[in-house]
Amino acid sequence: MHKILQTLVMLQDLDCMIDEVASKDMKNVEKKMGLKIKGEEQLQEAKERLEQSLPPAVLSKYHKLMKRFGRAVVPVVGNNCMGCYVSVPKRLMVREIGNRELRNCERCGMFLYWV
Amino acid sequence: MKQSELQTYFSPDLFIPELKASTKDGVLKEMAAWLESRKKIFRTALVYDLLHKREALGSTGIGGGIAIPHCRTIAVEKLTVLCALKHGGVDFGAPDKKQVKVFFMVVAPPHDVTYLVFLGKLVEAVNDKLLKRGLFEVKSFEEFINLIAGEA
Repeated sequence: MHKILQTLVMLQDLDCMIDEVASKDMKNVEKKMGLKIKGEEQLQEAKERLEQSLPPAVLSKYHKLMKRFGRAVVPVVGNNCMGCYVSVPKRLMVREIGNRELRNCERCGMFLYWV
Repeated sequence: MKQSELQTYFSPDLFIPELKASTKDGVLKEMAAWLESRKKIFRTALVYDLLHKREALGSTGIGGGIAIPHCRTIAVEKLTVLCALKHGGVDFGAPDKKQVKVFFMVVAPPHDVTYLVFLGKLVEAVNDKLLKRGLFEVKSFEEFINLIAGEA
C-alpha cells in the first residue's frame, strides 16, 4: 500500500475519532457503557504528527477536500468511487494495484482507497 | 434497532472461541488480524492503530468481564462485529479491575448510522446478568448465538 495513502487513511480515521469523541451522541453511548474518556489531546498530537509526515501539497489537498466534502479519502467499492459513484478505470479494479499509488477520483477529486 | 436484531450482526466466521493472546495489545492485534483474514478489513495495522489510540483514552472494558473495543474506519465496508473469548481472562484495564473474558470488536465505516445504536443495544444486552453468565460458559458459535437469540 502506498505510504502516503496509508497516512491519509489514518489521518481521516483520526479526524473522525476526534469529532466523535467530542460528539454528544457518542458521549451518551460511552456513558451508557460506563466508559470514561480522558486525554483527548493525545489524539490531536497524533494528528499533528501524521500531518507533518505528509508532503505539503497532499496535506493542502486533504484539508481542502475535508472542508468541502467532510472527507478526503473514499473507498472504492464495486469499482465505483464512493464519493461520487463514478466508475474508476478498469485497469485499477484489483485492490493491490489500486492502492499501490496515490490516486484521486477523476470526477470528485477525492483520494481513492481500495477496500 | 430492535434488541432481537442484534443476532443478525454475528456470524460463525466472526467468532473466535479461544484467543491465543494473553495481553491487551495482543488481543487487539489478534482480533484485527482475524478481521483481515476474513476479508472484512484491509490492513490490520490501520485498524489496530486506531483501536490502540481509542484504548489510550480509556479502556473499553465495560466491567463484569466484558470489553467492547470499537472504532470507525474507512478500512471496513460495513458495520462488522467480531466476538472473541478468552476463558482464562485478560487484564484489559477495565474500571472494575476484573479480567476480561468476552470481547466484542465493533468496527464501522465513518458514515454508518447504525453504529452508535448498535453499541447501545449491545451494552443493554450484555448487561443482562443471565446472558453475561452464559457468555462465560460458551464454547462454540452455536452456543453463543443461541444465547444471544434466547435472551434477545
